[in-house]
Amino acid sequence: MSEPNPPEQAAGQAVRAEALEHLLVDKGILTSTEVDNYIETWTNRIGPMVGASVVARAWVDPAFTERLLVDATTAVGEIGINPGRLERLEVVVNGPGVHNVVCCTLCSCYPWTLLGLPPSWYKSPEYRSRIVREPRQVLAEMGLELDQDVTINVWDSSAEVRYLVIPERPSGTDGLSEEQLAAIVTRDSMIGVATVAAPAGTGST
Amino acid sequence: MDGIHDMGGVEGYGPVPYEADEPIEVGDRWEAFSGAALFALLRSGRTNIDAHRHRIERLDPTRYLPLTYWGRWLAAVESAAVDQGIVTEAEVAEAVATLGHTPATGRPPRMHPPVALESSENDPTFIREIERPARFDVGDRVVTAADAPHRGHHRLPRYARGRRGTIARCYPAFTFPDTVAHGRGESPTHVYAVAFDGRELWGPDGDPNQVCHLDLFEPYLRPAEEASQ
Repeated sequence: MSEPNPPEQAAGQAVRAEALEHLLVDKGILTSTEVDNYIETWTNRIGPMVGASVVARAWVDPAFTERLLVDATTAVGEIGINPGRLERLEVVVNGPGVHNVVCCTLCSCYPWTLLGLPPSWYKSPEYRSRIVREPRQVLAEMGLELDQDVTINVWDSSAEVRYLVIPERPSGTDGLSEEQLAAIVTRDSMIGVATVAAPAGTGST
Repeated sequence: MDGIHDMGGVEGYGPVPYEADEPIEVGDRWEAFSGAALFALLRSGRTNIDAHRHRIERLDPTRYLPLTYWGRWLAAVESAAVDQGIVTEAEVAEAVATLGHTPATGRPPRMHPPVALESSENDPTFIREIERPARFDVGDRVVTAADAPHRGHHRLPRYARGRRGTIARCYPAFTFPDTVAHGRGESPTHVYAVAFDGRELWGPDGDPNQVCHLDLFEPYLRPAEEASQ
């Protein structure tokens, strides 16, 4: 689902952006190649598969999880991840009785270099206003029912620290390789609005 | 500032427009321009992320809400370019009139090979070494400022003012948005993840089994014991 944006407004914005692009290119502030690369980078190269590789490693290697908890920004380098302009990464780990969910009520801060661009619902006034006030209700509406005895930790990214949720590993996945595990980790589970399901055919209950 | 952007806890909004694992694309070229132009301005030091956020906060609320995320970025990029004297409003108006047509809004062909993660040594950084020791440690009880720190840009949401919490995680010193956004220097200060119980934030209707964490800059916090004296 894309954000509502009236076509006439988008057309006006497109003209304005093109005019500004001409001017900023003329003035040497940016090149049109940078605009093309922006699309390439944020649609093809950087996305949830980066975060998923962190989760999969954490699932198979408890010592790695420990290092993530001490200094996630450095630890993700072990699996070749460059957190880029993200200077301080923190992980929050789900477990029995504890669920974590990430938001940004003031703007829409998000761990771009691990998850790519934020989905439109994450940036919506509905999510930003309600997730801090009634998280259990909001998560239930989004399809994630949590019992009252599950503690919900909400992380409102109000500074330059970015959060990655390590979801619980589903049962019935003991035989999967790290690569296969990474393939079942969803973006939404790393924001904390969903859990990870075992792949069909693994015979788990 | 107490603006439209400060949405935490505001009531009246409906269901989250959620689609599970919604596919993500930078849609139209103007959206990609808005992103690429902001990062170009950041790397050239013509603006900073705090000033960018403050420009978005200052959009008229009746304009803020209907704009999309990228629409807000475009508006902020244009005002930054004008404020920095890179372009004049007259130049923009003339360029818009000269175009005189509606450009294609579709995605351009992918002509360029994939690029490496676009981090460079010119990317802005936020963490600073400071000599002043951290005032708080994990487990310390703190209380947040009861009022907005000031009327400019800051990062203390309304819903967490005058509330008692516990330091959950201690972070290094970061450049201080309150001064950086206004061109008044970096004033690096320690940051903490502060945990607040649901009922402390929302009263008796709050979820007793909810803990809300905010990353707060040290000047927003006082020791709880000091506050109760």
